[in-house]
Amino acid sequence: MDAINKLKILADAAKYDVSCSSSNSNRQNTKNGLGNASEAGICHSWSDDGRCISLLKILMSNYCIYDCAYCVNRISNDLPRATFTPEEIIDITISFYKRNYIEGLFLSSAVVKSPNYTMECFLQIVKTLREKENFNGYIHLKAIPGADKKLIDAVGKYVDRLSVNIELPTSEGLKMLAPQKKQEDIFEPMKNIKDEIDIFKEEKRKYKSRDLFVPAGQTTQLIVGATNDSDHRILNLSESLYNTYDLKRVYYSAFIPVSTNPLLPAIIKPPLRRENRLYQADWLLRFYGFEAKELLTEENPYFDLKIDPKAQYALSHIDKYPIEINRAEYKTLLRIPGIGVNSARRIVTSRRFQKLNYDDLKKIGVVLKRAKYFILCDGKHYGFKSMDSEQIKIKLIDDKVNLDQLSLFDTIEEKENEPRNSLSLR
Amino acid sequence: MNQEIVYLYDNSFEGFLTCIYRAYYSRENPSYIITKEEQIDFLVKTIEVDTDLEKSKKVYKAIQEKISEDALIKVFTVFLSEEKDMGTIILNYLRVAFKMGAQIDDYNIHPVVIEIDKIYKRVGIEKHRLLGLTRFKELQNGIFYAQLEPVYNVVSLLAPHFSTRLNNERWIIHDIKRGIAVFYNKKEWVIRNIDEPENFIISEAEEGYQDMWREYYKHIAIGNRKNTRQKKAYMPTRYWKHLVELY
Repeated sequence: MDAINKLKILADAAKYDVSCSSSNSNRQNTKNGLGNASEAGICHSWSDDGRCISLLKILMSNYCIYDCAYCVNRISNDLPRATFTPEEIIDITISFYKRNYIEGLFLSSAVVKSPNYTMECFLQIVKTLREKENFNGYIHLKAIPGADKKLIDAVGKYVDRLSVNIELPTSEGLKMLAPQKKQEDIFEPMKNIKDEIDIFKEEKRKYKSRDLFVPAGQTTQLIVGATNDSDHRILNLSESLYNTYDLKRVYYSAFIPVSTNPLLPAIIKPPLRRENRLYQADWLLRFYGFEAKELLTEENPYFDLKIDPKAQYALSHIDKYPIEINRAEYKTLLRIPGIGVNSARRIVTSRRFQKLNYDDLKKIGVVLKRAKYFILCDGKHYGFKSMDSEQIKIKLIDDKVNLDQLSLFDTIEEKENEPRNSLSLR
Repeated sequence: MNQEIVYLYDNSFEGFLTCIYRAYYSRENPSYIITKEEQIDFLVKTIEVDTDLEKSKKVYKAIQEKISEDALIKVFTVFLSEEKDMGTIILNYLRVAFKMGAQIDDYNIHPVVIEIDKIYKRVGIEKHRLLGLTRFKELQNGIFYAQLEPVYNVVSLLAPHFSTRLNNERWIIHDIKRGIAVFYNKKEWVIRNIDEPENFIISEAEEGYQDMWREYYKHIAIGNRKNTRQKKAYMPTRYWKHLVELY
């Protein structure tokens, strides 16, 4: 089979992995090298599903030895199979990169022969790319659960990001749908990667070592809606992943039925809105100083699909509002619906110069039609005097948001750009 | 009533800064600072300002030292927007900024800052988009050649990025709308005027890779999550003409 036909099959097979980000690495180009990483990440195109294309996302092979019920590549599924040679992957990556189609390579694979064998192939590819081809673009590699630690440590020296997909949030789910996988096999490499990253950071600090080890950190992906795990369980899992393993990102993927397995729920449409709520909540954990337990509890384990998680939090803690925007601390401002990280920062810097009124907030970029119920501007309130949460909730429900228009996942990392980063004047 | 004044300069950043110098030290308050080629009203008084490298350098250094490096980058970026009122927006901004100094960088609700930031943001977004949407074709002579038609004059903002990234290749980024191009020769980049694109002969391998990229593009989309509106929001249709995957 020629490379283009393999590409069709192995891009198709890779597309359900939602991660696309090319950010967080600052790998530099070398003297005779090709490429570098962009800290903020760069999107190169957007596909018909509205997702950003940043990396060449492919599987090395879709011949899998496993039979996981949720996965399109399971051995029992009847579909065309292909395997790239290392030379083909290297050639496509470099040729695409030079034409500025991509930021780099995101390489994953079905488990071919064994986890170790698959990792050894990966090692050969990334080593050749870096050492022989002097390629310094972004590389995101999937760590195969069950592979030896020393293989994972070896690839870590060449790649920017590693990820191990958890896929199913609980071990019960895993037992039912992926009986050949064990949860330890997933968490162990995560822990190893974290420990190794810590060692390299320490060496960098102590000896000014310039060696890199997974500079863009590790990420994972959870499938939402293939098992009956609640939002509460999923969010708690994410929080502990951030805290325990220093993950850079947890991606959520609404379950898309790619098979008709009797063990799986009969879902006709993927739970997109639920996925969207989890992303919003994830954002609150990482950038807004929220803890999972503030957002959901055992008794109240799901997000309200009608309003976003921050609004849900605010309405159930309505006694903490309204908040005076001229005095509140930065982290308190972040808890106001309609105020994001950028507008909170701008409020803090601008109010050093003058007292802020309602109009100033508009200029800053605060979404007032949401924020007005929760704020005071120099003592003045523009919402309901009663602060009745039921009444406010009605105003916050946005019926106009169509399910089809929900973004698959946010691309804020890619969107935020600082024009000054790569500007030179002379 | 005083007659309206319009400054005319020669299209260079130095020429523009010379106008700023003149406005600052004369008592004139130009209603526009525009290039000599632009259409103007008969009723206004036009003043041709000759580019003076000494004066422009003074303004350049004053912005850098008395305000901040960020302010200088902002002024240059907004200059590249080529918007008709860009000149007066910069002038109004600088008048306040020279009084306030570096503090202005944080005063984001001052009216002059709001005005300049609007344009600054738009140019920055286009530049960032094009870092991703620029498409090179390999020519027979080994040069990588890209055509763009950006809204703003951003090729000089793209050049540093690609000269680091593709430092070992020769490449050209051609703004066919403005008839200018960045040329990079593995050492440094320059901007030159360039006429109609010649008949470039692409390399033998080029079409094969373009086909692969088109197939990849098709197959990476998840069919049952089609969302054309979002695709267009991130990648406005005005850029599609030069995107290999979309033609």
